[in-house]
Amino acid sequence: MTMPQRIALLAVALPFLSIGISYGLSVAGGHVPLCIPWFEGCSTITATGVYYPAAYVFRAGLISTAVIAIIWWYCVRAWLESVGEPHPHPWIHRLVAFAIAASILLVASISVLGEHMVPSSEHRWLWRFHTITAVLFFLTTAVCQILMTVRMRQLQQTLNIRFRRITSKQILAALQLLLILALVVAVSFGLDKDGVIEVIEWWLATLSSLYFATTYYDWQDFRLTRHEQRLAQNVSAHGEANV
Amino acid sequence: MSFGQFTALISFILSMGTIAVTYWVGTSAGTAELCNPFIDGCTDITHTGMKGDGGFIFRGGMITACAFFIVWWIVMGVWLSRSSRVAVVVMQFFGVLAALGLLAGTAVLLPEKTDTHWDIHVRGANLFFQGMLIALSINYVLIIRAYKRGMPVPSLHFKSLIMLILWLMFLAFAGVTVGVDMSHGKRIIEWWATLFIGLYFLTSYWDWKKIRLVNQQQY
Repeated sequence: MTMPQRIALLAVALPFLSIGISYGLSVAGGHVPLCIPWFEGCSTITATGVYYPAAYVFRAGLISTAVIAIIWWYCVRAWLESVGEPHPHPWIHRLVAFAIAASILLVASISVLGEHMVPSSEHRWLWRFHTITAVLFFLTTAVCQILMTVRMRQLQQTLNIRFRRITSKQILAALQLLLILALVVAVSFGLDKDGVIEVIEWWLATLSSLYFATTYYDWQDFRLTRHEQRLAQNVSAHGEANV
Repeated sequence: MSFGQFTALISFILSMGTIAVTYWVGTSAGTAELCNPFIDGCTDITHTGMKGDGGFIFRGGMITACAFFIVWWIVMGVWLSRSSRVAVVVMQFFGVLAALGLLAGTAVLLPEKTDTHWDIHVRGANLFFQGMLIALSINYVLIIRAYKRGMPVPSLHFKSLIMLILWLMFLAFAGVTVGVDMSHGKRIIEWWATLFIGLYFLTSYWDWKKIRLVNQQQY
């Protein structure tokens, strides 16, 4: 398994584990109700990481997830630049810059979270900061993934990309777009009751994480390596072929 | 900039930058004592990053830095891929363990001293310093061996100097041990040891120009 492949897997495993353990600890502590949040929306993702000890796991896990996401986007840039024509593609740089900025917002958002924010009425500024940065992270990451898929489709011929797994990216991107539209409609028309926003939040986070994993198969031959070693291998292989 | 150089640079900037910014915010807000901690040892690193906005910056920045430390050890494994596999794995084990120790130790920090899980924090911080010293020592030996085999190591002299200083500090003060209330001398050692570990990470910037993400698929 190559290093980028490990990053792709970690980017989905780490948030699932962190949020799962935090949710379990918060339920055990009686801070959030037990349900299937993807369908019942009984709790926000944030609520699973407010009370200790769940907040410790949430903090460590999700800040590390943000780092994994930053490296994932770095890998995306290097990978997309390595395929097809050699001329630079500024859209990749812009997209990755926005996505990395979003991941930094996630670090900021999680850093302020904890039991010191309770009661919420006395810490409005911190809650506002957390909410704004978290929403910006989710929306920017989802939009960047959607744009990445759209541009990859548009440039499939130009870039000579043979993305066998582009179908899964398209499905996940389309679902994320639908969820964002549903979120806008729910907020605009006052339908944000009975856990609707919470359900959308859980699904958006899940789809966004799953999207990271779709590059696992794309990156089978994409690896971190000592470049001179690779060049030397190429030269010797070339030499042997010539002989 | 290669991926290796990016990792080396970000590991240094994040760790040292977080401590510097936290200390500046802490002293500005009056939650940390103002002095030159490398000489005066008026405070330890932990206590600069507990209360107020400094605490948020410290927790966010240091956990992020620890995650990058783990990546740094992975990159180091790739760079030393021609060395003994067992030695590289042992080195990475201690390096990653040290980073995880600091990560856990930072995650449990809370604004109030009485609320903080000091047992976890102290164990985590000690695991970081001692685990890192073991990992860096193995790393240094592997680099020397690779250098003798002809591998270019532009930062060798700088690395040698840092290792010498780290070991002198370790021997002179019977190890860099962190506690809840540390002595004056140990605080000073903690600041210097952290700086030199950060600098060791940075030295790889000059070694890792060719540690790149390469697509080996033919198009």
